[in-house]
Amino acid sequence: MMVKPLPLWLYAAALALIALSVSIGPYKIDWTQLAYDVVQKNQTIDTIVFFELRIPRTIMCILTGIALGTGGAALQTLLRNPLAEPSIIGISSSAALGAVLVMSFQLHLVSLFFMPVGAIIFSMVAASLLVVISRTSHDHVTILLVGVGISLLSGAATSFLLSISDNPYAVNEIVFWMLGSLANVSNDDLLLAVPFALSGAIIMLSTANAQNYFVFGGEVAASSGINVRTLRAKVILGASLAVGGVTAIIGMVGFIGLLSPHLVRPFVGNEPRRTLIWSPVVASLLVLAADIAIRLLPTTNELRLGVVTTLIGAPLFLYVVFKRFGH
Amino acid sequence: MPPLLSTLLFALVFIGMTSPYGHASSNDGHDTAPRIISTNVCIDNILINIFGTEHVVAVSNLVDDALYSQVKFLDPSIERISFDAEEIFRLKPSLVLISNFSNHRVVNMLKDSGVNMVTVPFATKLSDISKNIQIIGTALKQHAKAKIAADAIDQHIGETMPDAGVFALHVTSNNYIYGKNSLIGDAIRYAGLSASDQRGFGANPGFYNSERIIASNPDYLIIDDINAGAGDTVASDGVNSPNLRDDRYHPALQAAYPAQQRIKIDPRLWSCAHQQTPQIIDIIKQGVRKQ
Repeated sequence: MMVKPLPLWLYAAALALIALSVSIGPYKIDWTQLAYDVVQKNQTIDTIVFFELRIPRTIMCILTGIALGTGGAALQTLLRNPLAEPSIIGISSSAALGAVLVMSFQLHLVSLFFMPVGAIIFSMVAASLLVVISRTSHDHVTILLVGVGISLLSGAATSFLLSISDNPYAVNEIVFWMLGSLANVSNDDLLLAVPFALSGAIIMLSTANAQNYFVFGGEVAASSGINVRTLRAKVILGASLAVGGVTAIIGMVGFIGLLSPHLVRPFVGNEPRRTLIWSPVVASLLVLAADIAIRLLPTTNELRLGVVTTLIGAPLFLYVVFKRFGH
Repeated sequence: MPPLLSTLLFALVFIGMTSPYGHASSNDGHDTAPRIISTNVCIDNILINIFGTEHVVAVSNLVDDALYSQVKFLDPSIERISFDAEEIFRLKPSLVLISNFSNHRVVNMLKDSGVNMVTVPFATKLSDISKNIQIIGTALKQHAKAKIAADAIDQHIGETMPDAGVFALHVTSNNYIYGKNSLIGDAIRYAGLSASDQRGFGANPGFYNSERIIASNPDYLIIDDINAGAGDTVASDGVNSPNLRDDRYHPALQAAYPAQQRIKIDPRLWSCAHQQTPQIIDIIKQGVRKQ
């Protein structure tokens, strides 16, 4: 797979954002002391803050971008819908429902492994349903409405679980988790998310070449020798693994999967393969930038990433809708 | 009428007639004995444990949940209800004890219907405990009993110790910090330590990330642990809430605050104000003294 090299400014932006992400925080790290402690293998507050808080948070930013960026780009091509995005078409909310179900029955206290598993199973059901619909209807609006319907249904089921919960502590935890946040991500969380998110992204990226043939529909792709059924299965599995794995840990973060392919397309000539490859890179930069902005804002309580991305992403979503449908 | 609609209507009427909620209470309104309802688990704790169950017809539906309630072995004939106007009307109460956080729509409905209500404010300071006992005692016309219990609590609380300049920060397992107006914050001040509002967290509660907590550099981290215990004063029968275990805290907080800098407190001591709540002061003092 031949891909044009990443523009230099993107490398610079990525490095700058990663450096900022590991250096910004309420605790002032003494970098010289940190280097000394690392060499001496001392455990101090500096090493704890750096290795247990900032590094996992930064890696999780990148991982979230990879998962949502590939998910958004792959789904937009598969569903042939520029508005397809895990949070809009119900995949994120279904993943959230799976995770909430796990939390409601307190299975996450038995093993945290149940969180991503629950999220992945539910996101897979939602993605499969969408693909089935997309095979019978090629109408963008129908597919989108089905996605919105799935999202509403998942939201209602989540609200139902919250309303019947007899444990205010659990309700509180679930509500704030659902808002999406990268604060307090630990290395243990990373260990849970990385295998699912990366394997999902790799599965989706493995379809990059075939995605180019899918622009004109399944029939054209099949006539070009693409195994459409396998392609669909790979994208569903990949998106569910990646989005479910990340959502289970940080909650719902919307619109990153929508934004990143749209930002990438002007630079790659609307080619699905290249969009799929560069979308996770841009998405990671977006998540890093949003998370750094959250940390720099002088708010008493740290804003939630999901809230910020939705506040920025929703107007862009409306812009895309109006531009697309010519209103 | 279409058959489906008539069947549905018939089913609704049948359910209404056979439902236990469809019947009026056996009390016909002529009985002059007081009928008391407590609508909040924090009020249940004080009402039952200090004033007993006489004339109590209903309590909150959390009363049997040892995770929140300090009431043990309550007579099953006393109804457990949610704060619902219809349920309260059905019981024809002479006195309803409500909280200042009770649903205002239900409160207005009860007020408009002439139900006698007494508000027991949610305690945000240790001194509120004796005030709440007095409020309930006055409503029940049990002044003497209320005074004895209130005096005992005030004596236990004592005077605020002078601030020793030691900072103790209480954090829940999901990194929530209660502000100035909280029982736990007040207890920290009474123990002679600085609480979160005195060390840059402001008066308001909120969620804080672990780094912000570490950066505030508390001398002691006060953490919730359902198994911390407080003698045999806190009901522990049947409680199994892994949510409230100390190992639910972020690994960075556990690493930055080793055992000697952690003070464990059973969250049931501060989530509701009751007779055992002032014990928090003793636990904090002991935790600091041990070091």
